[in-house]
Amino acid sequence: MLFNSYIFILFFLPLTLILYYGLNYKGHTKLAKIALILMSVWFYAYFHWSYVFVLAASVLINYTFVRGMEKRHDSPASCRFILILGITVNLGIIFYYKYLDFLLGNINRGFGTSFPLLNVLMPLGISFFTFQQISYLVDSYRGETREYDFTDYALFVTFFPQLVAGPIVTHEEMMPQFSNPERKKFSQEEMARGIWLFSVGLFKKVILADTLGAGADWGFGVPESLSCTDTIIVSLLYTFQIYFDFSGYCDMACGIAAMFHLKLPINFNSPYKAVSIADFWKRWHMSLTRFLTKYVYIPLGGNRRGKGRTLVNIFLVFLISGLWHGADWTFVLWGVLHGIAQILYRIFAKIWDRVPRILAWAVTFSFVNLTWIIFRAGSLEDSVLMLQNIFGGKPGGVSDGLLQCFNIIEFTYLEEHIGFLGEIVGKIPTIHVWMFLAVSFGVVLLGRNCYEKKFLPTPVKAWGCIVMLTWAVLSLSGLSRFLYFNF
Amino acid sequence: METAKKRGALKKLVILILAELLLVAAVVWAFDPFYQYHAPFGRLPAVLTDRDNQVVGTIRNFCYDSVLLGSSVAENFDSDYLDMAYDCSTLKVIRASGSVADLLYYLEMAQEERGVELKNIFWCLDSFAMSASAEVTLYGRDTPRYLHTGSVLDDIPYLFNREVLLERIPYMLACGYQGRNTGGRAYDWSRDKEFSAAKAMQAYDRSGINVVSNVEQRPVGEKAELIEENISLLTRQIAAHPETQYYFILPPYSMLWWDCAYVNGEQEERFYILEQTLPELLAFENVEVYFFQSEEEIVCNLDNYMDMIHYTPQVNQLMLERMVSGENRVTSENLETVLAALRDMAHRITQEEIYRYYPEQQ
Repeated sequence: MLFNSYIFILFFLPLTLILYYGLNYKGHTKLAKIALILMSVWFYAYFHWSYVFVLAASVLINYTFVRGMEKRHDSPASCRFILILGITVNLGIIFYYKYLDFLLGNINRGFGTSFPLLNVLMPLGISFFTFQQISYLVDSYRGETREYDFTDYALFVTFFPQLVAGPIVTHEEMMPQFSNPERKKFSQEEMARGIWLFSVGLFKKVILADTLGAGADWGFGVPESLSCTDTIIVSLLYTFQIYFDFSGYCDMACGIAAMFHLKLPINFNSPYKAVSIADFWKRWHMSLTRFLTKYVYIPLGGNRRGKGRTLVNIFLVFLISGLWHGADWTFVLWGVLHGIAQILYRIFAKIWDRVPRILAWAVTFSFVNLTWIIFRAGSLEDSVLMLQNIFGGKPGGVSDGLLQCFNIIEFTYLEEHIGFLGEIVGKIPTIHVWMFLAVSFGVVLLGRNCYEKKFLPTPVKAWGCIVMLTWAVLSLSGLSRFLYFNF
Repeated sequence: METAKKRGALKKLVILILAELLLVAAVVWAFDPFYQYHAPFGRLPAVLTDRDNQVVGTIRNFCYDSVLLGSSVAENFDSDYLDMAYDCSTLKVIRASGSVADLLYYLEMAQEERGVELKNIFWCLDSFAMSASAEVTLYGRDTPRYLHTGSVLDDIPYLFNREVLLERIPYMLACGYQGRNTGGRAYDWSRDKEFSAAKAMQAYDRSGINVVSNVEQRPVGEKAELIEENISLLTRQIAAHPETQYYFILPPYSMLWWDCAYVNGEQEERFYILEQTLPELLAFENVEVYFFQSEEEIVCNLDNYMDMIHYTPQVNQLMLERMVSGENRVTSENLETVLAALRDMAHRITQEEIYRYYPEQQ
């Protein structure tokens, strides 16, 4: 089920809230958790019923490993064996669903073989719940977890606001909240904050990301016919689409959790304000960066084994990050480029930090923007073509196809009813695109992260909520999916 | 005190959100541009401009005793004229492809909704629809569920939809105010369209086709089965409703359509469709067939067309008038003559008439 769907907003979410608080109010706290798990399973099964078996198997297998380690805590060798087995099984599951076809395809291409592809349906969010459970296994091995019962563990993994697109939460963030009696009580402030965050997130997703996405989809679908101007615009459209898509999702996830009086960790902190690539990765998908740092970079030796090894470790982390985002060479190259940029920053940090901030920001933003082209392109060839369009200065203006993507109904309505607006559009047909880009720049550079800001309920916010929520709900018809679900 | 104030504020916020959503739903329900819930209130005229979204609603909620079925070539018929001539109240039911199965799906829905037998069924029967799929194609991925189910829950994408609110409702009101696409002119698309030989020829560029003087015409082959299935769908419907009068109108496609068939070796298939379908229809007492495909004056004058098949509203009107006066009627007795004349016309088109527009190729 999508957050940005009628069934979720008008039926699933209110029903789940009533069920959860109703059971807690009656003192059935355990039952409330079970209800939340069952509703989360329904939320997940709504995408495809067969996903539930993968999720259930993953939860049961991992819980068995955790219990196994807890029972053999006096035998480090046994625990180590279970940990290795657990990580192998988790990686095996993710490899089967996400990477096996990619590997077979490459073998077939490279060696002229004809291994049949499996074409298995990849369960949504498998990377998220698998990484979350690997982190739990490792923390259990390190003795950092307590003996949580199955209900708490299942809720930790399946809690629907974070199930399919993160943030990748850790046990110390969630488990204490599940057992805190204060958290089971309805909170006015948290509910109001939750509605606000959800409205903002829904608006970002439905009104901004999906509109920008229409232009980006058009452009990435016809890279050969784009001019230099087209390609730059399309790249910016995708840069802002993925921003508002993911930022909107994170806001909605945090907002929903707040409605349940629970707190999810911050996952997104104005990343396009970053003035270096290291800064960018401290702000973009923060829970993934944290996971990769804690469970990959540090175990590899981090920066403790000399400068050369540190740089290798950084590179490996970004290679894994690229692959985590998808099984394609475009993602691998994207990860590699970010790894190289991170290494260069690490080497030249002292010089870089003396560069004027505006220049540092411009270079960082441009790099991120250009690498998003590789990330989004249908193939490496397409990404090369688009980069050639930009750097080769391919002639031509803004294509009609691109402009048509921004002929949205709100503009049409206003221009039909307010005469001079129609005249302006007649004189400057590209104005819709520039407006979207200007608004996007304004929001990402000037706006403050609404998750970090202290929430103060005011009448302006209340009306903002009403307008954004209604506008977004009215714009829900049509299919759209969150980009991060595929990763 | 503070908590009570906060609780009051939260309650107000939730109530306001719900109230605004309800208001939107109420506006859509009241104006109901797809006529999902009711016919227009008061003196508001029914504005029909969007066949795919409005046909189901009109079948369910409008008052009628007859239906006019067909594809886009039937949309410009003036159903008021039929009402006058046949003393009935006709609802236009349009499916772009003219698919027999899809139109029958609508027709059966209408028969079920009315509860009593329909008086007349005017069916503008397209030849090309007879060799198309005999399966209903209305449940595609892009078709909204709410059109086909009675459940209010399925209506949510309709009730909360900015396109409906900001575009369809204002457009409906504007058309209603100007008297466009109302009454017998429902679904009429002829406004601002250009009908001319030049326009028609834009849609059929024969100059790029390397045609020899005698193109071999393929036998019907696999299509025969589809044609048989479609005929069977039609005859089952007619047999099940002996009290309803069926009027089949076979509209005149331009000579470009006939030439296109010839160039692609499909002419025999087009004759075959008629040779198989018409006798089956004429076997019923409650069927009348009016045949315009061989109306050479219309077919060979490309100024009547905007592409290969779409003709002016005047052609639609002419067909109705001829039908009312009993002209162009095909019976079992004259069927052979009519089809022979059609073959002659098709031959003349492909060997002579078309070269008024395209140079003859060697």
